[in-house]
This record gives sequence, structure tokens and C-alpha cells, in this order.
Amino acid sequence: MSSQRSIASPRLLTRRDSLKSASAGFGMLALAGLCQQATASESPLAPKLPHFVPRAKRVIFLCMRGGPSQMESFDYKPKLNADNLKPGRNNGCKLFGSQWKFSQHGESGAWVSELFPHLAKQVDRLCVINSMHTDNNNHPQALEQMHTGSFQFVRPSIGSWVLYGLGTENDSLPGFVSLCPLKDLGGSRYYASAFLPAACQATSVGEAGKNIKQATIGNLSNPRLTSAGQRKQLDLLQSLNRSLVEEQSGDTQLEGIIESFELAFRMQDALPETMDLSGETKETLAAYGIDQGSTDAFGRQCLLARRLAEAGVRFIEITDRDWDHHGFVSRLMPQAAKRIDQPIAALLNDLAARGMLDDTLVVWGGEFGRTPDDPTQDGRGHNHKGYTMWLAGGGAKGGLAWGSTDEHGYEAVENKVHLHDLHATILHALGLDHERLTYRHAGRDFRLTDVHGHVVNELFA
Amino acid sequence: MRWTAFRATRVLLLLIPTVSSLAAEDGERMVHFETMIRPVLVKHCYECHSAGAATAGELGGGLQLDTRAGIRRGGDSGAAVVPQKPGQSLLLAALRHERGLEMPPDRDPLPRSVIADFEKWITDGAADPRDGTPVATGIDFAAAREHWSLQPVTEPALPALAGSDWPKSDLDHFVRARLEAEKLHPVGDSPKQILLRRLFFDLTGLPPTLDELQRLEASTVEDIVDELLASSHFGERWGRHWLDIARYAESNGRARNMAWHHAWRYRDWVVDAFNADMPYDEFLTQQIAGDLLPSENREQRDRQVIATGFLALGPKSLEERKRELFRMDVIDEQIDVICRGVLGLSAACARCHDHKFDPVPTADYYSLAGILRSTDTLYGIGPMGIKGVNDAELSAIGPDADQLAGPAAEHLKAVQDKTQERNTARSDRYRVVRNVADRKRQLEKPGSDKPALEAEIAKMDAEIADWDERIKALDAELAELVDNPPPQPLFAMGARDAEQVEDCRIRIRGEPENYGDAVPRGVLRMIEVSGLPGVSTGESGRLQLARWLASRENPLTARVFVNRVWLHLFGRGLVTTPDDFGVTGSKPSHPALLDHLASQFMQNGWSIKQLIREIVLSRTYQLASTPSAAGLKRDPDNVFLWRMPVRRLEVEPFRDALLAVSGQLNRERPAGSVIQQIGVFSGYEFNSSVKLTPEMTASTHRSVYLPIVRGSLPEMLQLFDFADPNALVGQRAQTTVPSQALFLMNSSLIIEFATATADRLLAEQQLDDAGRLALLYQLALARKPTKQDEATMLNFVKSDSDTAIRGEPDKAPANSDSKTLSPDDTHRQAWVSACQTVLSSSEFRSLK
Repeated sequence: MSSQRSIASPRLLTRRDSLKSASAGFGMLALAGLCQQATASESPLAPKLPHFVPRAKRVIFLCMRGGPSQMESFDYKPKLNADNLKPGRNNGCKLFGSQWKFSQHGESGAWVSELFPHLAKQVDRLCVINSMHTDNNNHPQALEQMHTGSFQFVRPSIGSWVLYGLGTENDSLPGFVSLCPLKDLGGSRYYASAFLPAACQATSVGEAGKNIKQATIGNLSNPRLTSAGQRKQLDLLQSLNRSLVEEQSGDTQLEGIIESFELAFRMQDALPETMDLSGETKETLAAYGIDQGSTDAFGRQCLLARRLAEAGVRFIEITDRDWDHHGFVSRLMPQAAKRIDQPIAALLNDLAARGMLDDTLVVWGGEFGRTPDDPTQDGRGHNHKGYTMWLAGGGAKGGLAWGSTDEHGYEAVENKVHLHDLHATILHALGLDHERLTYRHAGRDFRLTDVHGHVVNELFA
Repeated sequence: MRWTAFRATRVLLLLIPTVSSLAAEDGERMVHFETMIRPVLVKHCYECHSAGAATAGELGGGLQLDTRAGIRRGGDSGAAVVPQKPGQSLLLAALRHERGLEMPPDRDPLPRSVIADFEKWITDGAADPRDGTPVATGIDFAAAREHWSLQPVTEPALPALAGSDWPKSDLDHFVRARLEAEKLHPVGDSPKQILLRRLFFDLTGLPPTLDELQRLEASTVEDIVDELLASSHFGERWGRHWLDIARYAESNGRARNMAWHHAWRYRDWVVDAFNADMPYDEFLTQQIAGDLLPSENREQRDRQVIATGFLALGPKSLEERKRELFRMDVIDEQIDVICRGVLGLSAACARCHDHKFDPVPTADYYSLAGILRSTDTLYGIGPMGIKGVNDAELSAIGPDADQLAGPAAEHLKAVQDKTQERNTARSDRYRVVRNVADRKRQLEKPGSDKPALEAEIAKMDAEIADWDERIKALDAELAELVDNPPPQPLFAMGARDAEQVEDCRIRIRGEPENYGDAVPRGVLRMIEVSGLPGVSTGESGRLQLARWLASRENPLTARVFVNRVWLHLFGRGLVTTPDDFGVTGSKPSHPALLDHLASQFMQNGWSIKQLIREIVLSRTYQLASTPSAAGLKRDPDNVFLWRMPVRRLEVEPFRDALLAVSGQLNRERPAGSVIQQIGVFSGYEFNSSVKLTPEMTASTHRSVYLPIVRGSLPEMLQLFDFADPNALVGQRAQTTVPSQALFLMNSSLIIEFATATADRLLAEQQLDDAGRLALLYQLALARKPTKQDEATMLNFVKSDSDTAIRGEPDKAPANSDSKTLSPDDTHRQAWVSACQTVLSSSEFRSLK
């Protein structure tokens, strides 16, 4: 794995490129807007050019809270199965093979567990990283690091960094949306902007564990005023708010409040429209598993993610939360896999059919993976030393299985990809250099990857 | 020395006769090790990775390379050498500067030939004659106590200043000295009217009333501060800060979420303690061990029992069927809230392994666990539906507790038993139902014995009918019991020593039934406090724990608390990680100031009011908030305190101010909590039908008294960053999201506040619109409108009278058709819009 990192150094983006890449739809609108806004507005959300030609324009992050088991999904471990019940590396634990069959799929012949029949059919679209590792094996810290790069300090969420780096293409919707976000374990920090401009934080809809169908976005219309009357009132409010900002020499928190009111005003029309699934065909709803039992909840999130992506939202995160299988793997793992398998497969198909998979980077994974051994033979512990995540679309190389864990799956050993590396790689896909995407705060330039991170160029086609 | 050893081995090797080629190979490999490997290890590695380094406390990465066992066991990152597996040998990766490892550190890699030697050595099996076991690397407490926060608190001398008369109080000397060192100039003092509003919100969480504005205009700041500290609203403001730490809530949270009808007593106790200026050491002692303290009368005893509610209020997974796991989880939560809340120390990691960063060995964690395991946590009835597992008692209090507690407990037991009996009957019935379904399936199969099966089904149908009758009767009996309880004593959540006190056994890897050795009950060894009595048999040790926490010799307790107070007054702690004073926490920006405050705090008898008084009377606190360009450039976060930053109001003072300005605030304390309206013996589990109604959360009392149900907070609290009651929150999040703006633009609640405010202004019939505007600004912003404010706002009121409610008819709400509005109504609506604007403005929601 020595240093063959720079396969092709990314070209700097020229104006011509950006015109070319913004071929149609929102991209075009955004660029038109960009030319006007670049001088007219200092808004932190105004569209900005990336550092170099991007592969992806947006991210859909499928967050599997709890730590999904890699040896039951995308990391085939025949030796673990062969060594079932032999003493494990952890005290008092025995090796615990997977109860489900793996087989090869697609042209790539990549291995997928039988628990994911729908995704198996799309394996040639998946760029599977089997050699992930991170620094903490407690949920709250690992989740925080997965979202912000740090588990020790309050830092901006990756979605906030992306929004800060690229701005948003739709100024009537938030640029960073989190559906069914985690509320426990200090959840709000996972989607917060920390020291970045406040307008970069996520707008949340619903909460983890509750069907998005029941989520209401409160207060979206005014019971008293007409739209014009409300605009007039808002103008008055903003003039008061601006005078305080001036007195405070441009305090970013106070500026963020002004931004949030303007966004809120526009969201009153735009958000209900985007969140409304009634215009989707029966076939589409069925493909996502909507109204079909256990796939309904995540199916809705996936379909909404597509709608938000279409509407120009820059970073979309959706969450399925029950992957922490310390016991009852035999029961819980099939349930969990079923909840997400068909919906995600439908999302990938749908994005591809609409020509959006090429510039939408889909990221799947949890805060860590599981151990190959267990004291009870029906559960798995937390494992941050070796686990699996995958990418799809956005220029990621489909059908690739990158890196590996040891023969049992305790830790990543070959072509290891640290979480910081993944963050650097996601930014890279978006045309952002993780070493140049910085924010000056308290006398220091901060980065999502701090002082770490290497782009894994091999993951791109 | 190493060469002597090397020579000796070599000589020895040469003397061994080569009896076979295999042995010869072994010999060669040993020679390779002795000539090519050992010298390199000794020269480049042993300084940080040897028994010597371990003994000196300087072992790097937990890795010892000076024995065979050590090199193969490896360190924190894994095995350094795996024989025959160079790819898995981290030592080789480090030598090659791969996988993020670089050894030797801070220099170019060793020559390639050396690295090739190591690869060959490992490939050939890593022959290694160095017997011996690596030194145990336990926690070195003496070294750990070198950490700044574990040093004793001392009173630092006031720093000398360059002849400045800037300081108003001692603490200003420390701030000024630091500003001078950083070459920063403080801004000027805050104007009095701004300071007045700042003091009112900081000390009482309420805006000044008109009356107070007029009355205090001529008062000195000292008099104002003393009046506010004496106000009963002080405890409501500062008590709520503590409730964030105490993760106060009125339900257990988690999957099955039960109402806690008596939690509010603890809330009121905290408010009262702050109002009475209860010394902080006493405040802590009562919360940990109030039930064990002497008392002069029943009332005092009851108050001290209520204080121990602190231990009982944590979130609990009552549905957990593994009792041992449940028990250890409750204890873990208690340890976490005590250690992080009082000491700023994350000890909970030590449940599974020695704390990686701070000196908390697993054994110490289980010493604390033993104390709490010897304590009954009294949080009240649990989920009777699942065989009564995890049900708990409450503490009976009040004058009649002794007479009433017995019959009340018997009645509760009867309810539990009857519930259980009914539930068992339901399961038994269901079993028969399933059997019927099974027989019916068999009937479908070809060749089944139909008559026999049908007879069986008929028999079982009769059984089901019997069960139905039986269940109906049991339901009636249960309802009878629930509806007719005997007179109930008062109850409190809290703690008491368990009947059986015992040391706790270490749980290996934190697994509840993976037992290690028992460790004696006691406190964390990292902090030594003189004169602390040992824990004797027959007592839990909570009293010792309380004394240890509240000791003046405990270096963390005072530091952590004064930092919390500072955080609430400046929006940023001197230590920016208020719940982590350990190695991973941040260092204080002003170490001497922190120690000055901590030592003064203890010398003043742990008086919280005096501590706050000293801070708010300082020049530092009274600085203006208007920034200077130089200050913003050099220190944008105001770390060095060159101004008072603009702070956002938390949700409680924001909501309380809305109530106050709109003339609706009820300043009295409500009796108890609306949670008491939720069923007591049944129907007390929050679910789709049992929930807080809008009426329950529509209180006009101060927000500290709103019901706090985990997972179901009142809308405003949810939207505006209320402290998540599932965890200790030392510093609340401050978010800016469109959902907050939407609330301020559109919610019925904000429109009600605006309407009430407008009506209050319009009721002043002697005033013209300019007079009304002045009144609104005084009430909401504690200042007069500027000329510009006046022009903008009055113009809005005038012109909005024509346009506010008009628009496309299909979009206009039915009840506000502009055609039917009288001139008075349109004028009123314009004022409603104007009031809503001021009430949702950044200035109203901020403190300058």
C-alpha cells in the first residue's frame, strides 16, 4: 500500500468547466444565480465554486446508528465461519461465524450476504470499503466523530462543512437537511455548525425511531397575515435585527438569525411541496417499499432524500437507528437488513434513472462495526478497529471492494481507511480539498479533518 | 551493558553443537536477532518502550519492546510483531512510516537495509531470546495528580498591574493582567440601562418591570444586585441551572416512559436551596446523603430526604428484564452524574476498562459502585405490566408518614398483585387462542382426525369463554382497588441505605454477570482528602462519598462549580469544557482567576450568592458589549474578556419575558406539578393516549415549573435548545434554525403573546401611539425607543393598519376578513404585528 496516492491530480476548476458541469436544471439556475449573487450578497449560503472539478454535487448520507455488523453484510469472512466457536481474541469470547450465506454478485463478483438481496443486485454500483477504522468505540463519541471528525471537541458537522464550502443551490430550502435525526446521546451536536456560520447547521425533520410520516413541520403558515402582510412585518423585523448586527460589528450568530428568518419565509411554500409524496406514482412508492410494512419508514426517508436532492439540497442525511446488536443477532439482523435493503436499492435505481447518480454521492454506514467474537454466541460487541462502509454514485468506483480486515474481522489490515480519510475523500468527490477547506476561528484555521486525512483516490472511477 | 549481553549470548550460541540443520537455522536466526535487531531496538526504541520507561511513567503507547512477550503483545495499537506476518506487524509499519505510524518519531526513517533486516527477522519467525514479562503499567497516581485541575486550590496573589485604577474588584486584577499580557484593551463600561437589564436576567431570569425601572434608576449597582439576590426569583433562575446538571425530569424516559408524580419536590427543594443561599458543600452533601444526616425535626428530615432525589432522577430503562444489568445501569448513571456534575470527571468509562485518559482505574469505579449498590434508589413504581420487574418504592414523608405508609404500601402491593394476576390470565387466555388457531390449521390438512379436533376446539372455545369471564372480573377487581386507595402519605423520590450493604465485585468488561474481585466501598483514589473516615460494615458509604465531594481539599469541586457560575454569567467558561476537567478537557484560560474564585468561594463558606455578587460587581462583568475592531481581530471569541459578549437568552427567560411583557406572568410558585394529573396506580405510562395536553403546558407560571417529560417536552423548550433531560448538560447548545424563525413568525403561541401585549398597550387610553411604543420598549427592552426606532415603528403601525390583514381573499383566514374589520380592529391588528416584531427581535432575545 505504499504511496501510489496521486493517480491523477485533480484539475483546477475553470470557468468553462463549471459551465459544462452545470449542464441543466438546478445547476444552471445555480450558476445564473451565482453570477448575480457573488457580488450582491455575502450570504454564507450563496453558491460557491469548489476547488477543482467535482465528481459529485451533493451527498446523501444513510446513517445506520448503532454500528451495523460487517460480517453479516458486506465483509465476507469464510475463515471466521470455519473457526466458529474457537476461542476469540477478546477475553471469554468465542468466534461467532455469520449465520447467513454469502454469495458473489454482479459483474464484479463482489460478496454480499443473503440478508441484502436487493442491494446484491446493485453491487456493481457499490464501492465497498472493508477497511474502515475510527478512534472510539462508544456510541456517543463515535457518532460525534463520524459527523464532525472529533469526539473530544465541539466541531462543525460534515454537512455544515459541505454547505459552507459549496453553498446551496436552492435558496428556498435549507442546504443541509437531516431526516429523523438522532435526538439522544447529544444528537443535536451531530448536525450543528459549531463555529461555522449558524446558517450552515442542519434543519431537522422528525426524529430517529419515529416514522417520518408522522413528522410535522410546525408553524409553516401564518393564521393571521397574508403573504404580503407577513413580508411587510418581516421587513420590519429584519431592519431591527440588522441594526443590532451593525452595532455588534457583524456578529455571525446574529447574522445567522437574519438568514434563518429569510429561509423560514421561503420554506413556508417550498418545504411542504418537497415533502409531499402525493405526486409520486404508485410504482415509485412500491419500489421504495412504502406502505409495505417494515420497509415503509426507511422507504419514505429514501424517497424524500431523492426529492430533496432533486430540489437542490446539498447534504441530506437520513437515519435508521437500530443496529446495536449486542444480542439476538439472529432475530435483529434480518429485521434491520429488511428495513433498509429494498428502500436503498430503490433510491440507487431511482437516482440512476433520473441521471442523478453520477453526481450524487451516496454514503452508507454506521459509527463503527461489530466484533467477530462474543461471549453469548448471539450478539456482537462494538468494533471501531475494522468495519465496513460503502459509497455509491458521485464518481465512486462501482463493484470495488477496497481494503480488508484480518481473516476474522477484528481489525482493518490492508489499505486501511480511517474515518478522517473517508471525510477527506467525500470532500474530494465534491471538488473540495480537505486541506484547503478551512475556517479561521480564534486565530487558527480549522478543518474537518484537523491535521489528518488522506484522500483515497483509488475509490474513484 | 547491551554489548555484554550480546556477546554472552553469541558465545553461548557458538558453543551449542549443531545437532541438526533445524537447530542450525535456529541458531542463525538468533544470531540475526542479536546482531541486526537487538542493537537497533536498544539504540532507537528502549528509551520510550522498555521496562525502564514504564517505571519512569514515560512508556509510549503502552508498548514495551524489551521482552519477547512485550513486543508480541504490543501496545495500544496492537501487536508490534506477529511472527511470520510482516504485514500484520505494526513495528514494521512504524519503521516504514506507514499506517499513520512513524518510528523513531520526528525524524527520517531508519536506513532501508535496517528495515529489511526487521522484515527478514519477522518473516523468519521473529526469533527472540528475551524472556521476562513486561512491567505492569498501572496508573501512577502521583504523576496523574500533576494535572492542573488535581493540584490543590491555592489563593494566588493579585497580579501587579501597571498602575491601573481599572479594577473594581479583586477578580478584575487577574483579568486585566491577562489583557495586558495579550496586548488587548477592554472596552468601556456598559451604560446603566443595559447593565440593569443584564443583571435582571442574569440574576432572576426576568426583565425589570416598569416600576422597577423607575425605582432603581437612581440606585447604586450594589443595591440593585443585593435586591435581586434577595428576590425569590433568584432561586428560580439559578436553581434551573442546577437542574440541567441534575438531568431533572418527571418521567423515566426510554421505551416505557412512566410519570414520576413526585419529582417536583426535588425541583422545589433546589429552588429553595438557592434562595436560602445554602452553602454549596451542604447542598451537595444533602443530595448525596441527606437521609443519613441528623435532623432536628420531621420537616428537616423530609427536606433532606427530598434532596436525595438527585440520585433517583436519572433516566432508566424500566423495561430491561435483566435485573443485574438494570441495576448496574442505574448505578452507572449515578456515578456519571456525580463525577461529571460535581467533579468534571468522566469516570463512567472505567466501568469497562481503566480510564484511558484520567486516573480512574476500574477498581475505583467499582468502589463507588459498591456505595451505590448498597443504596436503594427510590424512584417509585415501575412497569407493573412486565412482572413487576424493576418496580421501586418511594420515600414516605410528611407528618402522617408513619401511620399512612404501611397501609399505602399494602394497597400498592395489592394493586401490583392484582395487575399481575390479570396479566397472567390474559396470557393464559391467549395461549388457548393460539392453540385453537393451531387446531384449525390442522383441520385444513388432508387426513386429519376431524371429529377429535373439532371436539378439542369446542372444549377450548369454552375455556376461552371462561377466561373472558375471569378477566372481566379481575379488571373489575383491579378498578375497584385503583379507585379506592387508602389515605396516602406524601411521597418523595430519593435514596436510603439498603438492608444489605456489600462491596461490589468488578464486572469484567463492564458485563453485569462477568464477575471479578470485590473491591471495598470507597471513593476515587486519585483525590485524597484527609480525615475521611473509612466505610464500616452496615453503612453504604454515601456519607463518606458526600464528605469527600464536599471537602475543601477536593481540588475539583470548587473549581468546577465556580466555572459553571462563570459560564452562566459570561456565556463561556474559564474552562470551556465545563463537565470535563480531566486530561481531555480544555485548560483554563485564566488559571489564577479560576483558583482565586474557587478559594474565595470556599473561604466565604461556599456561599453561592457571595460568589455571584463578587463577579457581577466586577468591572469585567460590567463592561459594555459593543465590540472594538482590535478586540474582534485579536480575540474574536472574547477568551480574554475584553468585553461582555452578547448572549442569547435561554428558552426559560425568553418565555418568562414573553409572559411578563404581555402582562400574563404569574409570579407565584404553582403547587406541585401538572404531572400529578396523570394516573397514579394505572394509566401513568406515557403513550399515544396518555400524554401531556396543551392545557397542561399552557401555564402562565415561570418556565422552571413546566412539566418535564423525557421525550415529550413542551414545544418552546424543544425548539429553543432546552437542556436534554436525558443527560447532564453543563452548557446548552445554541442553535439557529428556521424552525425557530417559523415559530416566531407563525405559532399561535407567539401570536397570543403579541395580542396580549398589544391589548395591554391599547388599554392605556391616555397614551397616543408614540406613548405606546415607548411603553413597549420599556417593557420589552428596558430602554426608550431611539428616534429611528420611533420613525420606523410608528410608520409601520400607521401603514400596516391599511394592509396587515388584506391580501388575496382565498388566502385570508376566515376570522380576519379585512372587510369586516372596524378601524379599531385594524389598528389593534397593526399593534399585534408590531408587538410580535419586537418580541421576536434579536434584541429582545439577547442580553447585551
